[in-house]
Amino acid sequence: MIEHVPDKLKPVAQRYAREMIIASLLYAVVVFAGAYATRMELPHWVIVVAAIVPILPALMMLRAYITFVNGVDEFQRRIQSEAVMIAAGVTGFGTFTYGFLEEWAGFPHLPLIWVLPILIGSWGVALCIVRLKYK
Amino acid sequence: MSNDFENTRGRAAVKLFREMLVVGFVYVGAVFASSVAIKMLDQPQWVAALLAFAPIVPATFMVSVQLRYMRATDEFERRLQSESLIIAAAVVVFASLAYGQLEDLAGFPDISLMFVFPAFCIVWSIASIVLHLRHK
Repeated sequence: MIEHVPDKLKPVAQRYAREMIIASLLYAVVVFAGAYATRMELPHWVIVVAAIVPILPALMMLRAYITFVNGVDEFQRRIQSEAVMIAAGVTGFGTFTYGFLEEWAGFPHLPLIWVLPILIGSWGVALCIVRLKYK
Repeated sequence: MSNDFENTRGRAAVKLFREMLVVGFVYVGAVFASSVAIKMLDQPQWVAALLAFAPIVPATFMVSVQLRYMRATDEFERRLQSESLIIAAAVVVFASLAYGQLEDLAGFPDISLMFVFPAFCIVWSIASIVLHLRHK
């Protein structure tokens, strides 16, 4: 049996995909530009600004997600919030445990930059699991 | 009829709050116990790693209690909870991203991953209080 995306959800999902693709491309460009800028002889404040600029496309991603969550029905919102809850739990407790290993067991330092990929990755997995559970 | 439903939901919330308190204390106890054990005893690295991982067990129960709480509450409360959760996750993740970039590109001092979870709990609590007050 083929699973159909409900008609009501289609425009919301399409808009979400479109906004997310644009924000992700912008993010990739800004990160590469920032990394490239550090190799040039630029003042320190310019490098600090270049390091913070990727926040803007990241905020565009957040805006796209909030618009998506507000546009879906209660059931879909429930799936999303449970997945975010699980991802936040995995990321929060996982990073706390790893920080503990760094401090007390001599594990190598993992930069804070990895928190976002960990959250996004665990959120994707959690979303698949929660969706399968409610099927 | 409506009052019965409210009472049942209230009792469920109180029960889950108690459960969260118990599991929270177990988690904090486990973290302290394992940190003391790692610091005081001279054990191989894999034992230290196991000890550091042990508090994950009560932590998974905390997530489970929170999920059951979110399922037991009404739509309005669930919406407030999920909004505050998304705000907290976004604030902490984007702040980590910005600081991670500063560590990486601008030579700012390293901060341990250990601070991510406390920061998340603080922002979540503040966001939850602000949203509850706003909707009162």
